[in-house]
Amino acid sequence: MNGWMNRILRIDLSKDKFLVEKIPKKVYHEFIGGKGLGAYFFYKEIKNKIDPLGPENKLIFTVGPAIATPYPTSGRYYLFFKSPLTGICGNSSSGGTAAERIKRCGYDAIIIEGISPRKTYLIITENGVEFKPADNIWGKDTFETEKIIKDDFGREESSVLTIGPAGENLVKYAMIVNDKWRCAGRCGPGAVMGSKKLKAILFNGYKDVEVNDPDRFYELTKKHISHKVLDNKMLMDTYRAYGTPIIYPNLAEEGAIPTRYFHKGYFDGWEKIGPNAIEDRLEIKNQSCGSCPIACGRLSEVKDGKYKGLRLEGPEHELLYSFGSTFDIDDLNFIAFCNDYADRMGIDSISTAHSIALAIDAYRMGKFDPGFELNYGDPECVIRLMRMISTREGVGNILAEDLSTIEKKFGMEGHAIKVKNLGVGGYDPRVMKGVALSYMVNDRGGCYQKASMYMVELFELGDCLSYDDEKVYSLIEREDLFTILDSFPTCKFYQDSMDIKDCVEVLNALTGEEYDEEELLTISNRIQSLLRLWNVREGITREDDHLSKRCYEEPVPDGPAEGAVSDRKEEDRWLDIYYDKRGWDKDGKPDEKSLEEFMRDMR
Amino acid sequence: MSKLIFCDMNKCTNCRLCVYACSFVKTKKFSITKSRIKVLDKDHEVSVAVACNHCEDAPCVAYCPTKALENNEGIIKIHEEKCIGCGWCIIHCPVGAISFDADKRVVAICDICDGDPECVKICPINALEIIEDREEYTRKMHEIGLKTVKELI
Repeated sequence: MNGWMNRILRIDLSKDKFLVEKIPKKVYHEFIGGKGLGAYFFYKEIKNKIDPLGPENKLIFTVGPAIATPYPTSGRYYLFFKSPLTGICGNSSSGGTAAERIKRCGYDAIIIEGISPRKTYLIITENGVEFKPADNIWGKDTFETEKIIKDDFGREESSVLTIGPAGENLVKYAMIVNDKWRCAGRCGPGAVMGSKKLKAILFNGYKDVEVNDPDRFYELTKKHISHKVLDNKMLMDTYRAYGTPIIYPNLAEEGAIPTRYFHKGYFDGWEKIGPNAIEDRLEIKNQSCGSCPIACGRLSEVKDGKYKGLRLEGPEHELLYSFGSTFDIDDLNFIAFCNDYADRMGIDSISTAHSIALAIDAYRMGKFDPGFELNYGDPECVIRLMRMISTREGVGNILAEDLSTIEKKFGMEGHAIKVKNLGVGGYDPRVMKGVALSYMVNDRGGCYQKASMYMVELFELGDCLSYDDEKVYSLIEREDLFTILDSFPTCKFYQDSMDIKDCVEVLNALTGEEYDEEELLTISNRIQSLLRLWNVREGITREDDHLSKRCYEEPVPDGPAEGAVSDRKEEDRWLDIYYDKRGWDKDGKPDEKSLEEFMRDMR
Repeated sequence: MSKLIFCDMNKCTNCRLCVYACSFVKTKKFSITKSRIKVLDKDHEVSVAVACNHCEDAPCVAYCPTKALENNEGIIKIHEEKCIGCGWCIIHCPVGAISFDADKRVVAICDICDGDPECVKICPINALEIIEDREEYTRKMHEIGLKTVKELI
């Protein structure tokens, strides 16, 4: 009756058993849903120092009170696990149609544990879980798997989460894919799923969702759709009109597009793959995730060349970076091909690009020889390595590992551009200091997305290079707000339109709880502190909250940001402010005693 | 004069806001089964919202064993007291537009919300529109027919 379904589904793959559980009302109050509720289960149930690919790791799927309602951009599910890629907290989120179906099965969270004795896939409905043999789909790509399972099941109102061959082969950065192009991409959830011998999960549910004050909630929903989205010229002119690639020209102007794996400060070919080129060469129509009035997805078709006829949703900005500028290749059709291939195989494009670029650098430095030539600007070697990674064939077996392991293998420690072993997104941290800080402190490592500081640096401040303290305060404010919105959960592209007061109004109408702004901020800080504490216990220290050696030693060689380099002293000053504001000590450790006490009270 | 809800599948993005809006104004719940409008998603490449087409010679009316359905000036009206919830109309609806309300145990059909439908109002990309009369509908369908042929040849 209040936006929550009041049921948690626990599945033990080792025993083919499932159990429906209840959790206390106060847990819902304190953790809301999505990222918050996921963090609660993650902290409580996943032990430190476990093998991420062993039976003790769990996949914790969560939805939230806003899911399966018309609240704008509420079509997302959240996922927590210990990351096999980084060894710390792994979390990821995906859109498409899946979140609604998960909730309509009647669950707020689904916890999958153990390892199945055989290759399996699951059918989850309102009536529980069916364990099915997966021999006929093992080895199939994500698109084929979704189609086979759905056709076999035969109901339209269903969604499939699946891994591709990369997940089966335990590629450390394998993804979980739904609706063909929507992915829980980062931190390697697909490898965890593969290690559990779990190929796919189909969700089919029809349960109604009731909220506490439907009239008020619906009024707010309509108001937010029109005021915060449709009347928001910024959102309409950018994400609706061009999708995520709209940011590419701004980054080119700042010299912040990482090119040739951060060896070049400017990508000459950006216009050939930028938003206007995409409009001219690819676009068909806008696509949405559930309940999204923005519709930033672009269903595209390649019109000419070798890949003519290829249809995909994309390529998104991160793909232009991953397969375009990283390899100095200004061919949109090639990028579209890589996008499609990565989605089918189920590998994260950003991490794939990091691994391959590291191999190219190693080859150029004479530290590695795969038996064929590796060069920037050469699409063939990229495609060849990408195929080998998915199957772990030959050198693919090395490149399918995490960046630290690959660096060690090549004798290139400190070369990969990463934080806590997660390769960074398409924003050069030497140029964009605010984005760099968000990479440094994010709970999952080098993630640009959770705080989207590029919005602040490119559009609000119009300043990337400075270590202005306004950036660290802005980061904290954004993390606090976005953690709550990630607990609805909503999409990142919507979150800039919101403030904490809006969150109070919406959540109270949805749930009937009486939140105020101060309480939501406390909840938000607690969620972030719990994840930090878990990471600290895993061995993360202040030292890990820094960029790679290269960012301090190799200035941007050319382009608009020539000479830009990261400054450890300035970063340390920011970290002091950041830890202090979060209530953590000088080493970045949260108050363990009070958090433990709080969690004991949640029983 | 009859009104129709028309969905342009070249625009529809599969956001399903129309489904939620419909079920809310009719039942105060966010339901897919109680909504009078449905969205079909074909391989995540084509999506289209489907509501009652208000057929001239409506099979749902003809097949209803209890005469619970009536074509009332182009709107299919349900006499809920007569409906036995057998679902015969759902099976015979050529466009799959009839829903079943599990709480009330009767069928539910789009009634155009007295001419100002909530689904059309909420559609954020203007894929849904109201077509005022058969003439306009005819022209629309003529154009769609031509476009379909154009893609085929």
